[in-house]
Amino acid sequence: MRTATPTGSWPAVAGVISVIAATVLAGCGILPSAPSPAPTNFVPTASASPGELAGGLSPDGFNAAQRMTVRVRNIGCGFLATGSGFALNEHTLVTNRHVVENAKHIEVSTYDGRVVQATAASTTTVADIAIVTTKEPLGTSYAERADEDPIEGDVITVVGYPNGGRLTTTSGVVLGETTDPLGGAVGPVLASTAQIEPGSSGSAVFNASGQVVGVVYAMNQSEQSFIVPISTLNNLLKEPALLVPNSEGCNS
Amino acid sequence: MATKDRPDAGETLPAASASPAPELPPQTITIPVVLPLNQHARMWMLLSGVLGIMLVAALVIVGYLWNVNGKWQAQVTSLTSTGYDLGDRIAEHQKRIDQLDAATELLTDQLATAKDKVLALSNEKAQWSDQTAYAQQQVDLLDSQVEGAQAVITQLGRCIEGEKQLQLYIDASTAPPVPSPSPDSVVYTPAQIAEYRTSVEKLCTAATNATAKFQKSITE
Repeated sequence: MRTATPTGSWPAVAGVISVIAATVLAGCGILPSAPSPAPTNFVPTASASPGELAGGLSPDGFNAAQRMTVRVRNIGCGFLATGSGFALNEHTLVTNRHVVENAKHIEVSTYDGRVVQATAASTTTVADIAIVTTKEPLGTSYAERADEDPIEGDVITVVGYPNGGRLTTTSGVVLGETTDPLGGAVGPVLASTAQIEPGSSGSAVFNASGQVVGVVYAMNQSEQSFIVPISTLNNLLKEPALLVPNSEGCNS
Repeated sequence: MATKDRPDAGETLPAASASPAPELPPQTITIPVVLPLNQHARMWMLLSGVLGIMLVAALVIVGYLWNVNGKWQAQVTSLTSTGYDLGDRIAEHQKRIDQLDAATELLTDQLATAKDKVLALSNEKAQWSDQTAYAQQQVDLLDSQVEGAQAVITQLGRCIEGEKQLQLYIDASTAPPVPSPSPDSVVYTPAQIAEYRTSVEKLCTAATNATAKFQKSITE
């Protein structure tokens, strides 16, 4: 005769209950919860105003390159010549040596028509560069000089006063280093495709970031322009001894 | 009820044979036996209990979900209302932005025109300044030429005066002697006149050279 043994099934029962309990608990875990309180304010935090962003409007609509570019008038002995230049700081500008050569008096015009009198000019034989100082401030925008020279293929922008006329912006591409076609510069110069005219001499050359990477000083028959690289200008500014005062007055 | 064909339902006892007794028909006596619940019953009870627990759990879950669903529905309603409100505000702002864009475009055009005008006026001023500087150079040049001409005229005048004076001296030396000459009349000797002639000639030569130099300067 067989008899039932109830105690023998309890482990199985306990196991089943455990499985069910685990399943229920696991199921509770995936149950959706009540929504969290909805936000009361959907307006995002105000972003920066347009004027604070890079490339924002300037005070008068002109960009920094235009504001720092000046027109140089060389009132010489029996002649009048014009060129371009750009402000290094409030009272100093850079132009070409040949722009201020044989000057009896130098005047500088800003993009908005202000006329500023030059007080002194220094030139160097190392490159066609001249540093001119003024008594009145040139403006509020000054050149940010690059540390490296542009390389072949870089896009450049030239801002100046071709033919002594209106403030003009032209673009081009750097063709590479070459020797000075005029034979005056000690180091290499840069050739570019930017079209310039007489009067553009001393114009600043800007890279895509708006940094000054050179100074225009010559052109040839093939409409190529030649640029004093920024490394030369940086070296000249580091070595003031290389700059000598420009002789004023009429020789004859 | 236990039956013989069931192995665990008891046994059917045979009739006694100790004393003869009238033949009685064989009788089957069933002895009830209380057996413990078998395994199937226990399983059914267990299953019932589990199902009961599951039913209770299901009811709890249904209640919970009902509550959660209500809250979600309330929030959806609230968010839908908020969404419509924000949509209206966005539409209003978009309209305002469109108006501002139009105004910005107009102002951009005006700014471009103003910049162009500033550059044109600046250029015009520079050209006028160039012309003024050039005119000033011409004025300075004319001033220097006038000064040179005045110097030449002065030298030529002194030359002419010297020539006239020389002629008077020569006339005085060749005229017949006057019986009672005036105290102012002076008669120079030929040597003195020759010396004066030489100085006058130097003066006139200098004036001639200055004239030539001046003429050359104004033709350059």
